[in-house]
Amino acid sequence: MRKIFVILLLLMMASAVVAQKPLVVKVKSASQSATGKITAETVYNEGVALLEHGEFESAMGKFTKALEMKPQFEQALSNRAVVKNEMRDYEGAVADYDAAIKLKASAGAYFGRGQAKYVLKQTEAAMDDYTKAIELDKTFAQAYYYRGGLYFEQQDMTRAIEDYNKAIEYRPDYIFAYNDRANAYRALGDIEAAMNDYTKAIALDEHAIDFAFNNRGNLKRSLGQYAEAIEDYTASIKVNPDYYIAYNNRGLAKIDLGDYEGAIRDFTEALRIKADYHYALNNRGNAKFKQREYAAAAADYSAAIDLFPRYGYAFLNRGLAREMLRDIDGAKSDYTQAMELGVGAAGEYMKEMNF
Amino acid sequence: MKKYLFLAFAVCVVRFGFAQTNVTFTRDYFYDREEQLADALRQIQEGDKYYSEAEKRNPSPLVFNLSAEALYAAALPFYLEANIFNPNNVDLNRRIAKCYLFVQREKALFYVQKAMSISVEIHPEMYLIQALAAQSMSQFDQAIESYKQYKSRLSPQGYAQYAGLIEKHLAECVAAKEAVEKPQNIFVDNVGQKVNTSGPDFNPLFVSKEGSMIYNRGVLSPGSKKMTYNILSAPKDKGVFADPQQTSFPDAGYAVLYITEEEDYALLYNPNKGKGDIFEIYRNADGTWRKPVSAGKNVNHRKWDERTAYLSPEGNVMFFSSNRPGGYGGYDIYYATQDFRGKWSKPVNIGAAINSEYDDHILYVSASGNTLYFASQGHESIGGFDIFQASLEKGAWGAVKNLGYPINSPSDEISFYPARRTSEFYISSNRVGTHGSFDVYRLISVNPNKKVVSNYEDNLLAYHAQHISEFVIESTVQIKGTEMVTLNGVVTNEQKNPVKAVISIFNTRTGIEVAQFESNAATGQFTLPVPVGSNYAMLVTAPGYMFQSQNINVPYGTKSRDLYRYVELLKMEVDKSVALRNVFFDFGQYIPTAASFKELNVLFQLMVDQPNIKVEISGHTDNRGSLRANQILSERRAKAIVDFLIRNGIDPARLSYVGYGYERPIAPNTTVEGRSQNRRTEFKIISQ
Repeated sequence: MRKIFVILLLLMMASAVVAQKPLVVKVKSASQSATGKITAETVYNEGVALLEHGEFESAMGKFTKALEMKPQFEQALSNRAVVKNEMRDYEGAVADYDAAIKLKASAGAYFGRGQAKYVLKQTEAAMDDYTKAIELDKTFAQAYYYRGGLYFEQQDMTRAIEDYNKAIEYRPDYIFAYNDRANAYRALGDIEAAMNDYTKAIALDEHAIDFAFNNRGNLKRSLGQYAEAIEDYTASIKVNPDYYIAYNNRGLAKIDLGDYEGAIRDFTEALRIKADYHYALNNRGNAKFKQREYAAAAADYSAAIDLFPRYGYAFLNRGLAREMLRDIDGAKSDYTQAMELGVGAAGEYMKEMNF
Repeated sequence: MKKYLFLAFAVCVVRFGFAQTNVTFTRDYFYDREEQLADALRQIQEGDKYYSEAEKRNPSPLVFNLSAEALYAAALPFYLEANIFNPNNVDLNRRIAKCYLFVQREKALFYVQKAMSISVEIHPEMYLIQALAAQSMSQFDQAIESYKQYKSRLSPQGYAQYAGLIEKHLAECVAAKEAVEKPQNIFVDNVGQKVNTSGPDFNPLFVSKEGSMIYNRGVLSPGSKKMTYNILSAPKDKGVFADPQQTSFPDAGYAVLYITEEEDYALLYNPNKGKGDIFEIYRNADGTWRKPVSAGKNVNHRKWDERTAYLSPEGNVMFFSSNRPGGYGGYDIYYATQDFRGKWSKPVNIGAAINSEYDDHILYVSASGNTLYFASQGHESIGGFDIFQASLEKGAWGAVKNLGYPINSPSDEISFYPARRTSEFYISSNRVGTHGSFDVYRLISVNPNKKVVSNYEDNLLAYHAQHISEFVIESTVQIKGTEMVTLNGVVTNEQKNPVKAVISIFNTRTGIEVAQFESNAATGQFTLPVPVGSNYAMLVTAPGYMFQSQNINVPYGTKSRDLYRYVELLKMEVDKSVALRNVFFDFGQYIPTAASFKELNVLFQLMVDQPNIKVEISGHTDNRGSLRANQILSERRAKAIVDFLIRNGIDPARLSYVGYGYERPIAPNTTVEGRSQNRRTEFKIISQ
């Protein structure tokens, strides 16, 4: 209060010296225009400012109000769709984008609708929307990137790489595109190109890209470079101490190196961060299995199965642990369950029981 | 009372003292138990009859001798009986330990350590017994130490004779330590007391139906002190062996080495004929066996022992072991071929690839005839006799492979037979846990291809791994009728005195500098008209002060024609901090947007102009989302600014960063405006 008083006093003094503007102005409603009239545009502009700062609920109110005042307001429809996407109302987002596109087709609207349709598992429709966005804006890096993602998921790595190339061409610091292009190269067996792209993604922001470190670690692990892989997983964890996936993968690299105690510590840490992470339970069981602690391993597999009752590999592993414990009936039962869950190897495991 | 207590203690000390010294079998100690003493001495005398004979046959426990083993086993009950009467005699404990070394090694350790504990001077052999027993029990460090002690006490003659063997045992201990660390997935089951006895039970074989196991049991023939054998057959039902029965082989005293699947021909061993000979035996059409016939002079050397034998699948090649001279050391494996008359040829040593400088015995030939399984004390044994495998490769025997732990153990393995119709196989071993001497074991292998399956998360697509908003936001729209607004303000110091400062105004969207001017030196006041519809960064600098930044948003539809800003500049001092109001991040992101670089450049210039200051950059968020996520985000944002400065050449030692998340709000988080205030990055001078 005292501070405000001083400010006002100073301003009054200043105005007296240079005869400037009056010090106290009566503030009108925020949505009024300079002419004093509340318009759809002024409400909309307030919504944009709120949206830019992630104030989604308030922004939603503004855009909805602007649309009540002016139903054919395509920018308000598009931005309300953005808010709905952010608030996970994907059907609502698609409806707003539909209306916006009907009024005026824009690359941004097609792209946003593609994003919503992807989440709604309308993959082909999402692909069409990304393509239309690219047709309207040939330099739309994000549209290329996300369409590349769809090609990747369809295992069409060649097309995925073409799109990632375009995304990087129009946005050379597109970290995500480097990471995902690396994945595509890896799927094609081009290990060198994959390693280069992961490294580029990391170099662009080595303090932020936990998943790129993790992916590069996995690539190194697949090449038998276990110690180097562990370094990458550790870097990933340094970036994000709650990155349970990296703990899980580092645990596996430690198993590869025969450090079963270290592996168990990593899996346990992954479970501390994400208690329902059934992969970590299964893998911790594997580390205990390697230590020949079959009963303890079976207990971990059982816990993994409790979390995910259709976890075929956990049944297979528990079957083997039970076989080692010479619980033949238990092993047979687990192999049977694993087979029913689609684990083909379980049939062979069952056949080769020596009892 | 005290006196009685002292007396009681003294008695205890004396008794305890007795327990720790050698107690001889004399009247000095047992003057009141003469009858029992005499009985104990008789027991020792009986035991000695076998023991001394065993010692003659087996000059050192380092050398394996199955017939000596039976003699030690025979001596043992007598010694144990005497030991009940007097458990504190050094020599008796040593002898018992030595007997157990050949019967049940794990029991030897207790008695030898007892003997050592009550010895005034430790007999060197005690170290050897201790070493062998510890090795068999996988106590490798103890074994290594004891072997070294024994070696250091050997006489020159003993050293010449046994130093090599000691080195071999030391190598075995090292190899065994490694092998035990990496066991194979194999179950090892003793087939039970119906088959296995306190004597040697060995060489299990199966014939066509595999319903019965044929094997040998060694017994000491009464009176002669010679080892003799019985061939037994144990019926097997659902994996369990029933009481063994005598077979229809005609004579006792033979051990079976080989038998055809049709059970119409066998090779036998008789230790008491010749110096130990191999015999052939045929079965009559009526099922009875004929008399065993010597395998001939070429196979059986009249002066030397032929111990094990096995035929090739075609039956025309006999592999056998013999300790005859001319080999590579100890027992070697030879082969002989059969001519059209059924006579075996002169034997040929199978060669140095298989025969070692120690004992080697043929155990089994694979159905293909290309792979031999043999027991050897040489090669890379992990203790005593191990089972090895070698295959013919391009006409020559390839690398010898130890079958590994737990098929082999620190003790001896002397038989190998894979069942033809199951994946079981059988061995005989005197490893820890036998019922005495060698026992038959069934081994069941878990297919090594059966492995546990791990799960990992790989090829993580970035947009799945880390959500960022990449939606395209439509920008604000121009509203007709809007005009210029006037930005008014005043710059003061902390004492509210006017300050003449340089004021720069930038458009944050375009990065274009709109104006640069100075505040009035006398009043600190400034005035500037700016167009509506933009967002502006105002940077205020003055010598000796920390710069100030403010963000001025003048969107379309701004209702007021006048905006007022008050700027208070802080002296450049330690612990002073200001907010970087024109450093922007996209929602949820931590890379500064392009609009941020005007202010970051000012910060950079400050660091250049003030080369002695060290600053801390701190990140702050509003309270939406988890504390952890916000802490990470705010730290990453602060780090990104530090990285910018480092990339531009500022010494990293002058920079630090911290993320506070939403723990240090400067306004309530309950309003949009409050949250906007709280989302900020600050820099603070921590030294100058």
